[in-house]
Amino acid sequence: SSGSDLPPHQEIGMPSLSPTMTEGNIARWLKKEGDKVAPGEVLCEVETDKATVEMECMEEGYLAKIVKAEGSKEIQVGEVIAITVEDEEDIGKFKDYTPSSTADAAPTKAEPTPAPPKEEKVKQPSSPPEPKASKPSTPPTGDRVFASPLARKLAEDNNVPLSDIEGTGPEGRIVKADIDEYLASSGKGATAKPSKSTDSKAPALDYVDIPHSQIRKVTASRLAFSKQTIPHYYLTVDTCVDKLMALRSQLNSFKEASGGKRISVNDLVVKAAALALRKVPQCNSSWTDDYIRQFKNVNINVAVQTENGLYVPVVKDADRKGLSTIGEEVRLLAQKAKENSLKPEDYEGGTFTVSNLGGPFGIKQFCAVVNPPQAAILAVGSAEKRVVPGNGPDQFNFASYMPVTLSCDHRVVDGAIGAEWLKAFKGYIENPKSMLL
Amino acid sequence: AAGAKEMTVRDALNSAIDEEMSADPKVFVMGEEVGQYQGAYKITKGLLEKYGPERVYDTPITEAGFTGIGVGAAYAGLKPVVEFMTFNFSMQAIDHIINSAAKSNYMSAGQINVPIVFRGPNGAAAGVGAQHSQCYAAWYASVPGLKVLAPYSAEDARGLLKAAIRDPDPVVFLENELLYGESFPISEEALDSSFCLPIGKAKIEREGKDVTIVTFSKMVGFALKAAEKLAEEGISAEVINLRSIRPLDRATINASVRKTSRLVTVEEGFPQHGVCAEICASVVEESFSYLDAPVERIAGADVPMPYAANLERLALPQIEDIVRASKRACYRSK
Repeated sequence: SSGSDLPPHQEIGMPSLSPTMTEGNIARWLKKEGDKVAPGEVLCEVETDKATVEMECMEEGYLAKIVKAEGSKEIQVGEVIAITVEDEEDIGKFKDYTPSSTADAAPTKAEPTPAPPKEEKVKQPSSPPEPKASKPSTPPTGDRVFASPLARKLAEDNNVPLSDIEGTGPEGRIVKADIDEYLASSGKGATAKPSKSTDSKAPALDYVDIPHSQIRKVTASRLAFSKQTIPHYYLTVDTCVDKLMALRSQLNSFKEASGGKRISVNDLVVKAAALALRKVPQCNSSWTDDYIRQFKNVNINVAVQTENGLYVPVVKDADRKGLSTIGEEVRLLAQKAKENSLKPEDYEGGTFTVSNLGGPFGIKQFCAVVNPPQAAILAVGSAEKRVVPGNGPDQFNFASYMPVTLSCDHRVVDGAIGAEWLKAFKGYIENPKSMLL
Repeated sequence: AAGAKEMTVRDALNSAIDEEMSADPKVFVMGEEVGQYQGAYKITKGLLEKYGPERVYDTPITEAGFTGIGVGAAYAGLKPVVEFMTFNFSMQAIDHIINSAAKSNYMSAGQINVPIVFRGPNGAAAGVGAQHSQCYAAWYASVPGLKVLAPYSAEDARGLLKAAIRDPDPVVFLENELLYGESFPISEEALDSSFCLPIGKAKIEREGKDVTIVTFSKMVGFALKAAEKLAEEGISAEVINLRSIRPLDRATINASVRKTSRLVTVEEGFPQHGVCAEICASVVEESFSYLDAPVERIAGADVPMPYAANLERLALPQIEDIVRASKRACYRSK
């Protein structure tokens, strides 16, 4: 087998770069085969479920073999992505290396070779990130596809490539039903019953199938989980923003004089939300089956839409930060999100989320989906000038109102508590100077 | 309905022995308390009165002695039915059962037949401790020259015991104490004195299409109850009552697994080298390409049977275990 006659080498496994990461994609290799590598140098960029993270080299040596090429997707944590060697002359010996060590397998369709004992050795414990781990924590699966014997036979009989199928059996094993569904939905199935499609006389649809990005999958699964398991309810209130706008232009004239960046309405909303959470900490909580965890930190996630997808970076301890700091941080995080370079610490640990479709998009009012495990999210609509009746019969005034909607997890936040929070929030927005108190 | 008759397993066994004794004067019963006491579990009730002490022998408490006498009588052409008060006590006499009874036909090049039946309650009853609760199905079923039967219902009990007594070879007949008092519907056909079931043929107790549950004896009842629960959740389980542990009806088991693609095996005995393991091997050998899930094996816990009632329950397969294993076999993430 390949392991026995190869010189000493390190198998680099897909690192676990976040607590929820189970698989990753290789976005880009910064080193190529044959390159000398030193500790701290970036080997490649890994696209995790949350962000694209640089993977650094831990030891000196040479990159002998890239096992998972640029663009490889859904690589399990621990799966071998590359081989490094200590001696330059050993590089060539890994030209044809495959981690699953199937080199000895007969060229004909033989029974899968059992994993060599070498791969069954348990990796010594090491702390993540684990790029230098010499043995992956699970036996490397390589290109091995797990399928039940029946599924294998059906696939062979119908010329179905198993690698095209996502298994739904235990541990992702491909079972008979997966093959049946594949056959039903594939071209084979379509050619098998062409009469049906001609019968229906509907014009063929013109479409393009867009593969899921990692962030799209995470967004889909987390939001589906949220909307299906969290009992949502929604509270909407109008907040008069005249004083807020006046304060903002006042502050921005100071900022401009000193050459600083302008403060946005959203920065003020984040600040007001943070202070309201201090006042009504029940909304700054998480549901668990055994207890409700009420956070003492007020960390506010801010939803940022980018070309790559929706990110929610976090402003930590927003209740204790000034408007300049909040504004600066939000700008920096949004920039990072657009460049796809958010680090885990940039988006983890949030306790409340603010989503603003009013300012940038002119959305009047909307209901956001709670960002689990948080208990509430604030949806900010656009400020609008209105005519309000005055005191006398023919009197009227003008005022600007910004509607906001709080979505709550009813398991954690009861209606009156949500209302109390909105009252506090509205108080800060309508009398912004009270945020100084 | 007026025609639906019921019969207990006890009466089924008793009537089977009675009819075979009546039909063939060579048939006789022997064992501890089978005569004057009418049987420790009343399986031989009324036989002493009907056939007299020459054909219903009360033996001393010495399995090694009376089993040897029984095997000798079979060598000489009689057809003994030897009762063990429990199969745990057959350990005293296992040399006679295996070395003297099972191997003689082969070693004599077919000149000696040993038409003997060893019968009695096998496996766990309730609260009788490790030394009285073991299942010997796997032990005896591993020996060439023996036939091993395990009835579940009254029909099984009648048909299989009559077949065992008529068979020219030694048969180990494994009953279950907890089934003796259970009543089952019984057909007119099964009540006929000529009724007999084939040795080596399993019975499909319930037809299904999603998963095959193979088991024997008391566990057949559990499997049927599990199948009912599974049906409520949309899983259609086929339940196979082995009836015969040796010869094992590989054909029926494999045909069913080829249909359902999934197998759950259940036995009360220990898991290692058990009947379940043998069934699993037969399916992997003959129907590997038909399996859509790993074979699930539900067996007794790998410990001597605990005496405490709570631990005893935990050490034996339960209906919910069978349900859970069947669901595992049918699992899909969507």
